[in-house]
Amino acid sequence: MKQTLRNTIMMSCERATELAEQRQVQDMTMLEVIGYRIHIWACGICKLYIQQIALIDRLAQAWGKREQPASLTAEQKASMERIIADKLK
Amino acid sequence: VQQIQTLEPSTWVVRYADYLYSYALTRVTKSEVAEDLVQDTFLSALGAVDTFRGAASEKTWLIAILKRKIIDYYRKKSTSHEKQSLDGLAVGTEAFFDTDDGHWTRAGAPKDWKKDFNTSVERDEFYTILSRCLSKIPEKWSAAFVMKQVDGRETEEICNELDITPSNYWVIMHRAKLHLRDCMAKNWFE
Repeated sequence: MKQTLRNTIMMSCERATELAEQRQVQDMTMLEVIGYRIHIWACGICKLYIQQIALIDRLAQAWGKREQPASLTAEQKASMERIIADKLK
Repeated sequence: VQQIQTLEPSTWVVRYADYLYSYALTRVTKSEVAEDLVQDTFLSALGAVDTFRGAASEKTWLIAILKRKIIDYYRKKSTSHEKQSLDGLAVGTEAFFDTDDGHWTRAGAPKDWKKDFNTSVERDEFYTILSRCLSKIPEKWSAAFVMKQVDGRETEEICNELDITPSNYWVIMHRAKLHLRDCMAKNWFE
């Protein structure tokens, strides 16, 4: 128990960054909640990591919502039109 | 009075090809794959005209078929790359964390980012690099990330589609974000 408590309070960076994802899917134990909060509060690198992945997540969400300017070439479209016309015969 | 929609396949390419292609390209990142998916969508749609009820618009109906195609593509990829992604999961973190104490390694630790987003051109560049980074990680990881963040789908739905447990899911998201963050840092932010 003592060992568990120590591991929880002195959570590793790897475990803390895993919990950043796990907590969105599964409930954390009380010890995990405490360990996670202490770790993120005390560890500047993990704090930076959490901020940076939050930025990437946010930009990825914006990506899904905006109109993409990509277009097919005229040849690609002509080929698709031929295939559809054949099927419609 | 509800307007009854009818299908006009001969106008599909002109009206929807670029829209469908753009949608696909965000999600599969390879242009030739996106093109194939659009073509497959039109072919499947032609074979399924009987299932069109007229309640949805043609566009909505086509995009629903495309979404199904994209998921099938992810699934096929995750089966053929299963070994690769499992190996990736087993050994995925030692570049970032010390194997003894789990602290950040010198090379893997995040550093301050210099860049900010001021113009839409910078945004476009950001997304180009994000796609490139997504194409470098195992397909199952990028599928999970895209379905969650880009498409905004529920976790439960993603687990069903990709045939993974919630525990697999958070492990995958953790690995995917470690690698994506690192790739974005090296190619964009720093």
